[in-house]
Amino acid sequence: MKSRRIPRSAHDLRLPIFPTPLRSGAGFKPEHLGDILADARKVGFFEVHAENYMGDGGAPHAMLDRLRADYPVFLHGVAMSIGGEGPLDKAHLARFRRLVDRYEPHVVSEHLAWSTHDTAYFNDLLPVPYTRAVLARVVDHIDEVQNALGRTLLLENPSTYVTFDSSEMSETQFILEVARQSGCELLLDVNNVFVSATNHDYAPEDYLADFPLHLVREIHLAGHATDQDDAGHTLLIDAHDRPVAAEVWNLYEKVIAVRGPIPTLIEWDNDVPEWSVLKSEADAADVILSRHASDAHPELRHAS
Amino acid sequence: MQAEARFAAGLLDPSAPVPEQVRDQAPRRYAVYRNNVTVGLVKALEANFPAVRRLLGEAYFAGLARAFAQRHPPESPLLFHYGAAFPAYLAAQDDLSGFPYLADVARVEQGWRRAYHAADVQVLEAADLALAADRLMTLRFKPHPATFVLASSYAVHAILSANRGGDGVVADPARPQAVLITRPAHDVIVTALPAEQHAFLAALIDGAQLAEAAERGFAAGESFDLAGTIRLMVEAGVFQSLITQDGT
Repeated sequence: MKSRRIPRSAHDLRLPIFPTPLRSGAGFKPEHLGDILADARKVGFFEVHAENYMGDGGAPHAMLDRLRADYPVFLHGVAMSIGGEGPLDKAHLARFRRLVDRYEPHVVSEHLAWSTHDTAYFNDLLPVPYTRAVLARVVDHIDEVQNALGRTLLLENPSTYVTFDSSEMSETQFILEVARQSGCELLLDVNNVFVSATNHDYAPEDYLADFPLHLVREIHLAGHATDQDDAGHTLLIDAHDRPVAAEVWNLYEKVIAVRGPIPTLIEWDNDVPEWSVLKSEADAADVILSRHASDAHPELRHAS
Repeated sequence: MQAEARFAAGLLDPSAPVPEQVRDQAPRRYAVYRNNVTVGLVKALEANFPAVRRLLGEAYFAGLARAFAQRHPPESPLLFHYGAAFPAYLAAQDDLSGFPYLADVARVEQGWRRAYHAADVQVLEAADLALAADRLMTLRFKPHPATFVLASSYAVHAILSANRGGDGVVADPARPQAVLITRPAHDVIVTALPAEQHAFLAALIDGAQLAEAAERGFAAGESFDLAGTIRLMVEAGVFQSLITQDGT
């Protein structure tokens, strides 16, 4: 009879070690796997949402095993609820740790946000007030995550639609202080900078001037939707459902000109297009990265 | 109430006011979060119950999914398991009395989803049985983690097939049918089971000895084909191993 043995996974093999890709990468969508493997021109890396691979086994892990054999994989959590008032979910941390052990991701990142309250999981990145009390909580949570995973975490700046009366400092001050106290590094989402700046009436250039760019190890780029609030104020939504906006490309180039090339992810999670369309967005980021190749940060050159 | 509880209170309740600690009181700003949460949960239910969605139509399903999400928000970020309470919720809807099979179809879709994400475990092979041929009738079996069986008063296998890629047409939905779900490698396999095969496999999955399970099979139908059903159970990967005397 036909063998029904499950093939050995890459689990117990030593995974390939890749240098830091000073290139663009793409969010991995299972429906693209065939086209990705058939594509002669490789992107720099792939990133996956950790929660999508927290099942016990089956096709998702088989696909990620296959991808990981050829590419650096970045692991991006969306549900750790680092900004939450309650304690971190130990079972979730343990699941995350198993993924880190299994896939040896190039980097591990999470959000400055919360998503769990009591037992309810709200599948969104909810905002926190920038207070000293929240700062202490976020630092404790990141410390716990970094200890549990045995890895340095990259923390991502959020897209926000509201602010809080209780905030005592700016978002950039808050993020800098979190990084200083926890030892985490940063994921700079340039689209989030543009979305929040537009929604809250400040210049994205001012935000970037205050942002600790020397701690940034990865950049995210994505498309946003345009809406209006009740007063007719423009309200940008971090929709991940279309190409990156021209203004965001311009901001991105300013960041790369200062920071030098670093891994840059194109996120496209809704209305996902064909692989060739997503790939062309990654190509556009590569053009900017290669324009500034000679500006490479000495520390990153060393790491690669 | 803590700040987080106040912010969370309106996320699934469109009639709730903007939380007082929010500086920008324009309702459409806070509503972005509410919309993200609601749309995300509806999409998760659509992904997990595609046949139920097709049976009810996109718009009706979305309304029902929104109402369900408001009452039963997920308790885990693993949204591919979201909707454990959805079959019972469907069964309790008076408006859906014209779809009496809906809850069972939803249960089968849940079984499909669990099988898809189940652990990668080897299945019992014909050779394992051959080695134990001398004590075949006393054997007990350990179910594979992907295995799911359900016997319904409705033609759940036919309804599921017709509404997951099929043409949607089921000639006679009001006939009893049982279904078996397995995943011997990476592909989920859905098999229609005659009543006697279901009786046999359900008994084995419950831990009965093979002789006892065979009795259940014959009791359910004189035409029960024991050898053929054992062959099916091995081919489909219902079990991962024999349970040895010491119970492992």
